[in-house]
Amino acid sequence: MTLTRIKQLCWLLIVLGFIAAVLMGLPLLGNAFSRAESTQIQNSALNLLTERHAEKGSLMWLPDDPGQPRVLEDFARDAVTSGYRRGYEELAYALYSGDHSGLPSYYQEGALSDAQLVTAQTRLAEFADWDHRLTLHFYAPDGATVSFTDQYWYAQGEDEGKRLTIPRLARRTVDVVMAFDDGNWRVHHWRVLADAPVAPVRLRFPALAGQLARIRGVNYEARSAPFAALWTKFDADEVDRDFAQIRRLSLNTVRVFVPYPLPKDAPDTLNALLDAAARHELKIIPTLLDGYTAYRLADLPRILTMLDTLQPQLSRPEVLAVDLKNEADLDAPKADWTRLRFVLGLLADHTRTVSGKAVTVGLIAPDPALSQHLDFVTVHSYAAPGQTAAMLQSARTLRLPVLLEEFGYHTQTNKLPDPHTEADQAWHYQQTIDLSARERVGWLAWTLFDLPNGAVPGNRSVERHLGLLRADGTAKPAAVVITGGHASAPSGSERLSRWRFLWRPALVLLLIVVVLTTWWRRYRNRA
Amino acid sequence: MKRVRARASRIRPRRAVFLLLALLLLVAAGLAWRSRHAPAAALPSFAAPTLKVTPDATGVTFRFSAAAGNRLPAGVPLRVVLSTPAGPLLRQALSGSGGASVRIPYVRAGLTVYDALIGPHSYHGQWRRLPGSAVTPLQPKVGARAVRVVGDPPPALVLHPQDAQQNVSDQPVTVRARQPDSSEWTRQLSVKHLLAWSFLPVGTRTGTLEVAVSAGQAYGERAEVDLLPGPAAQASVSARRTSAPASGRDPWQLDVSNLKDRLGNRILDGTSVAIGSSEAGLISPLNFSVTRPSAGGNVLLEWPAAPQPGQYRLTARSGGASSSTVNLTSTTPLDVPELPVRRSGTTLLIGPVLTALGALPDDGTPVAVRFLAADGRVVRDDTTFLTAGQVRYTLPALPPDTVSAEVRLGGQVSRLRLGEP
Repeated sequence: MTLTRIKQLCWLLIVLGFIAAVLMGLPLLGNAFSRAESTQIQNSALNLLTERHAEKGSLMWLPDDPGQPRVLEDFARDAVTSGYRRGYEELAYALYSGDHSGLPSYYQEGALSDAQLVTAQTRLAEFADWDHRLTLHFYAPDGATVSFTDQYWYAQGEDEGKRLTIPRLARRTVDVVMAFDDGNWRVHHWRVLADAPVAPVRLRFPALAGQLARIRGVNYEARSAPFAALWTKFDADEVDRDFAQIRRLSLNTVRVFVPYPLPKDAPDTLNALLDAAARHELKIIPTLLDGYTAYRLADLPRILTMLDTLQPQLSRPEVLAVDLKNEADLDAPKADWTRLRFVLGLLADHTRTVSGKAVTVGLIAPDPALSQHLDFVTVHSYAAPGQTAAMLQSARTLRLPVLLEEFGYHTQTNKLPDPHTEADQAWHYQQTIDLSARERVGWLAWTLFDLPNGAVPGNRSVERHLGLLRADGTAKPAAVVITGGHASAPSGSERLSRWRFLWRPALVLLLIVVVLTTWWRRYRNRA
Repeated sequence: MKRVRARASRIRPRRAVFLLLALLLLVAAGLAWRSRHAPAAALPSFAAPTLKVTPDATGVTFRFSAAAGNRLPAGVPLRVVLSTPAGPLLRQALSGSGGASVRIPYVRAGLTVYDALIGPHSYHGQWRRLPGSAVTPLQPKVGARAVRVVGDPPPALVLHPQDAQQNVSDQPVTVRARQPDSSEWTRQLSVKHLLAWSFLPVGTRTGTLEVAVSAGQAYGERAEVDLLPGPAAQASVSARRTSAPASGRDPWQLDVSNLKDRLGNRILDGTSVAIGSSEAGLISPLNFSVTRPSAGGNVLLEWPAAPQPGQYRLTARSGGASSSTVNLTSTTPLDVPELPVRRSGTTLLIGPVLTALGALPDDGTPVAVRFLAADGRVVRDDTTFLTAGQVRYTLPALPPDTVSAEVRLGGQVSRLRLGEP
């Protein structure tokens, strides 16, 4: 056997050994992956529980039935409440993770049979419940049995990858019996008496179309504290000056962004913004849930509590309308449209009831299914006016009032491959405002100021150059346009001047090329 | 040339192996990618099938049948979700040719809402399951296990009659109770909010209350409640021995009896009875109280008479009951008309001592001996004891200023100057 053959044989053995290792290792890897996935699901479920447990105000006792054989003592009522709520937490965890070992701590008899059957059959189900209202019917003289009726809201759906399948929102009435076993209250029996969706009371806004068509507004970010920083470093004087400036620009509406989770003093800050708007005769469109992208059913109770918390502010006359979420369509690749539509539709109905205002979701382009829950639709466009026109016309097919809620044009002169000048911006504004007038659509420009400081969306440099006003507060030509001035299309020289920033680097590069070429020629000639 | 050829022959096999390896990996990756991204087989469109929902004793069946004149293709995914108080119950399956069915063993009584999805067709509906007849054994809960016939709230019965699927039945419940005096009590209870309950009558006699429940053809075990007497409402006290000497030799004997509650039931054994002195019409105060448990409605108490001779009054109390007062006498412990004492060297000779009756006092009767200085100051106290009516007391070492000794017994005092022989 030659050396070559021996080498070939060795290599063949190595290859075969590698293939065998792969074939044996893949199942082990799959098993490890499956365990990791299961652990990750349980951790996710536990994270849902941590947030659930922090909720307040999700359960209340209505007056007890009269004629009780024994009055339910406060300490006993607290213990019953605790056992009942923790049971729902355990159920939500088991439904999502499939781990139902903890259920017997909170359920017995028929209720435990149901809980075990459901959690054995169902995996990755989302179940959220809130606004429990309990009425006590019976408290046993020996203090070991209670019977009550619970009315509560619930939302459920199956988490299929990102999709939320067969979602449901309804109000349920259930009779419950709990017994005090070995020092703990457990649910033993329950029976559903009623379970039906409750159609929201749909308010009508007959003047809305006219109000929206008259909107000439701006999306507002404070220079010293843009975006979320506005709510932690609020400067009332700065806001007052900025609102005065907005008024001087002949604008009548301001859009602000309210972050979620709600910062501690957010209601007071929103009140201060509304007070400033009132002083300067401006209307406000607050955009809620800024920064929220999860759309989990487990978040619904906290979000609904947030809406209730902001009710005094949202119902003020300075609020023109409420925008529930900015550009939720950007969240669709991660959260899926089924989930978005269900959660935002539910929240839109609740927001309308709570605030008494028209509600929208600030999508880039309207969604027909979601628009059934809205009072008007929005378009966000940073494209050419022709494309904006097409988006507006498409939005009109939904037969709801339309608002051009965001449009803008950056003035970053060195932005490759598309640098802009302030003259370009002014021309864009002229075209868009003319288009809006033709379409009888109100508009809000993005944004009031250039933002040299602070965090901006995606940390993109163009986001710092979208203002009507420069960072020092002076007006760009576009500001003149919105106050009634006129801009024309940029001339040829103006278009050429966009590339002015490249002249110097181009000259330097040319010089280097010339020097190198000269040197190379001399080198070759010498050779 | 040979070297070049040799080099070429060394390179080629290695290259071939690498190429083979790379090819194998590519093929594997390609297969894996294809399996993940294989386009889903497009289902043929079909008309919405009819759905029949059939609840029965052990669950519910969802049956999809092809609409008239149409086909239901096989392999169509279907899912059914029940909205239960425990959350969404999901079942999935694939259709067979011509139909599909899903069975879910959900048996909870009450309203159940369902959503079903087969292909692009969705269905929504609900059904209301009624609970079945109650089954044996019923499990009555009676609280408390023991109650007093006077003063305590009555015991209560709570029952959740259940059918075979652990649903609380709506059947009325019959409760029968038998009291210790054999009188019976029957009541029919309706089930409301998943339970039936009632207070149980305790009557007036102590003993065992027996309770039985039934619902249709279902029965439960007997429950029992101990009916106990109430707190004492009456008590009598008498003395078997009303006079005793203060020496404690023959004690007083008290008998507290007739301890009964308001209904005439003897109080519970072990109930505490407090006996103490009564201040009313007092001749001599007595700092005395004692607590004893009763047995059979009685308390018998013996204790030494008061050390100070005199008349005393005592009363017995238990619960809200207080007895009348009993008079007791403590007599002089020892009646000695004479106490002879003389000195013999370093010994004091005490006695012979006789009682007034002419009898020797008991051996061990204590005799107090006290030594005094000239100014009356007590320099030493001592006690010695009679034996056959006498004591030979050896004088201890005494301070030089000791001038006299006193001997006391039974109220008699004899003094002796120590300077005398």
